[in-house]
Amino acid sequence: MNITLTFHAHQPNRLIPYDFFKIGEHAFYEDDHMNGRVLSAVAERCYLPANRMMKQLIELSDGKFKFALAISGVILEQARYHRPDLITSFQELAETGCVEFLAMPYYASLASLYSTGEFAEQVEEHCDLIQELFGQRPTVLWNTGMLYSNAIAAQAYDMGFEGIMADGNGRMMSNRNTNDLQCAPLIDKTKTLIRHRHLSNDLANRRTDPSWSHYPLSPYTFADWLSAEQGQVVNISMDYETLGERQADSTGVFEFWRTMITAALSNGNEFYMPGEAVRVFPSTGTLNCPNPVSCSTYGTTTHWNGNVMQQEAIKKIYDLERAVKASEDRDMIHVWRKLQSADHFHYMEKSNGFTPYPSPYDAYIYYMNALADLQVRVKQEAELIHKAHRATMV
Amino acid sequence: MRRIKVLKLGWEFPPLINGGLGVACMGISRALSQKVDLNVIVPKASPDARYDGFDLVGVNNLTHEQLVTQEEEYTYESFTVVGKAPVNLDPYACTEGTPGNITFTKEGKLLFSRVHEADLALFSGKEDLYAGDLARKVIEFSKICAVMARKYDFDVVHAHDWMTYLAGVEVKKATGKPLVVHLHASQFDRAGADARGWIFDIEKYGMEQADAVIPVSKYTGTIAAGHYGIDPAKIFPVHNGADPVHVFHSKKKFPEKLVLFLGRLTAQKGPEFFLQIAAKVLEQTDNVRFVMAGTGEKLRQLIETGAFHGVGDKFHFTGFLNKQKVNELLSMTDVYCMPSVSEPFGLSALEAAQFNIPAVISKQSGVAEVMKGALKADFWDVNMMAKHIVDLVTDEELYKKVAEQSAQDIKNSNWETAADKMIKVYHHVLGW
Repeated sequence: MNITLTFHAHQPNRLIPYDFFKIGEHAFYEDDHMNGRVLSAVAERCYLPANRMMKQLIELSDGKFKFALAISGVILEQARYHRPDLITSFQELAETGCVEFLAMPYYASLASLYSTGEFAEQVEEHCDLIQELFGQRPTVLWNTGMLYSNAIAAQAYDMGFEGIMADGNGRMMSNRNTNDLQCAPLIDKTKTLIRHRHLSNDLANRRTDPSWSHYPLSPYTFADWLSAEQGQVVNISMDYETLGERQADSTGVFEFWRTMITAALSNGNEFYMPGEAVRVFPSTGTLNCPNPVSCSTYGTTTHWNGNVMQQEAIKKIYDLERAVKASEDRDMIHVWRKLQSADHFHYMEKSNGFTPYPSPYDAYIYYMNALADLQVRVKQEAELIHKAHRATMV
Repeated sequence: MRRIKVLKLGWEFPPLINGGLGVACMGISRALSQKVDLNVIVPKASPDARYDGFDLVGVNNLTHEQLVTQEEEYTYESFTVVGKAPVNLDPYACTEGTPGNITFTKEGKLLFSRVHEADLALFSGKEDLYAGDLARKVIEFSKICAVMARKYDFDVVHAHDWMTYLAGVEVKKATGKPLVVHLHASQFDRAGADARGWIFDIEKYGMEQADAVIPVSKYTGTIAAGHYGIDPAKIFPVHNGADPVHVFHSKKKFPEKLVLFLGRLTAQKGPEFFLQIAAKVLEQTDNVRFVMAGTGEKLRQLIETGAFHGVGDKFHFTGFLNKQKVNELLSMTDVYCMPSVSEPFGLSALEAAQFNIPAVISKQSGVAEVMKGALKADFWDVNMMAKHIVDLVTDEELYKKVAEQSAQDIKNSNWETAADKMIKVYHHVLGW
């Protein structure tokens, strides 16, 4: 069987407790200290040892093992500032020629749902960064949370991508083989790679779940499952943080992966990078997906925009687009874009226990106060420009 | 005419307890002590606190021996009327607990133990005065006051709010001195028109037994008369004063006007109305920000309602703020809004006025009687409230006029004026 393996790496920019009294006075919203600390800890436990292991597997297999990384611009920016050694580590992977870097919206935002122009710009910004750091131009798009729809696929096509990744969830996939490449309606040049949701989640979630019928999962068993798959290519994808962070070293996660990949190779499976897969395999049909789907538990977008706080925050941040861009102030645009990260809205989800804030309400309040500060600054800048403009007229 | 001797019974008292009731009791005590001989008994007082002109006794600082020598043959009469005594009363929640440990005799008479050391310990601990077995605290405080009262030479006893009403009645019965009860806030304000229960019963009983009732406003007086059935002839409203605050002004860091709501986020204060008012105002002008300062059981619901109205970027929640932060907020506020559903007085509006802030307040508030210049509307009339705010932030002439009138209004709002009126009430009940 042919296999693609894609890991997604991202760390949010958590906000400081931004209270009302800071509005108009405090222009820095992020908890830099906390963000640096978390990045550093996850780098030690996950990114660096995982990168070492992957590089080793590539070298030991003489380049037969290949995989892809979808790394957000946000985490790369954090790494440049707090842990440059992490960038170096990814660069070493890039140099093997066996690691493909996928395109993402730089800010891990939901722009594909709320502003197509903004989405294109963020993807462009991300591709530029990947090129600068890793010397390759992405050809496959990995949208935030694997958000996908006909419209998003069409936009990927417009941007010239050869492939786009989508999650194979039941709402979209009814009776289709997720292992076959397909195209969105009226699109022929951009192929959709569909993540094998079940096998991916076996590794991401169920491997460490004692109540799972296959617990404890043997790496050889999983390699056999991969070999038994039918179709063009099976796409396995999950968060890179699964390795060593969500599943601690003590669960044997690194040993599991090392053994599993080696076993998969010796079973005669072939690893492809997603960009290779879309060039090698033809599309087998049309995939109709009118509504956006994601790789979240329910496959929907409700964990980002399901409640009124999230809806309000999203509406207000995208309402600012025109005014922020009119300022032509790069710093301000950057700050605005960082506030678009989907994490901010996810922290406002009431059932989300994975949050740095005391409650989703606090997440909402800090966010809206920071947003209010940005609004004030945008307005002030607009007035300055207006004045300067009038002065030149005179 | 000689100076009147007053025994005052209070519950909260600064610096230990800084609720609104405590602040008012302190203001009244200070002003009264200039003109009468004053002794104050409260459950808790700081042992080192000294006040000019009056003596403050905290039950927490008494020893058992001090009380036993006072306690002779004496039956506690007033408690027999209190049918059930629930525990764990929160004065701001209308749920009441299960009956406490009071025993009935065969004849159906209530029997109380004498004051034990354990009872005194109720007030010496670190526990909040309103926490735990509040009913027992109220009853023990009454017993202790009745005993203590025999130590003092006084002409009139003056009790503040329901927690001390039983004590006041008990002292009246033990000594035969006239009782004046002060009504700072009633269960009607806190829990709505249908409030009934132990607290309501004590309020009603205390006011019935009193020789005079002093509500903090005419508005509250109408509640005493209309809702509790108290004879209007013995109701003498006296408006609260406001201690002068250190007034300063600071520059806002944002260009919009600032409208402030300050208070507990409970139904009584009308926070939902403030949110609706804000939404209405923002429909007409975007040059305004709203701040809701305070916390309470409605906070989360209000946050979501704000988001639903789509005003989250212009409507800010601060949570609980300390005095310093409140003053910082007042120093940059342009309009104060108090849409209370039922506000016995509303001292915060006067404090805002000291900062020269014009106010938009509900007609269902006592302070509306004092602040002639403030713009008023019924608490439910969000359109009118919104119109007032829009007028204030867009019409500079009007803004100046309202601010100036407020400055006039607060000139007479001091505790000295209030104390003079209270002394008249004392004279009335004493027949002097």
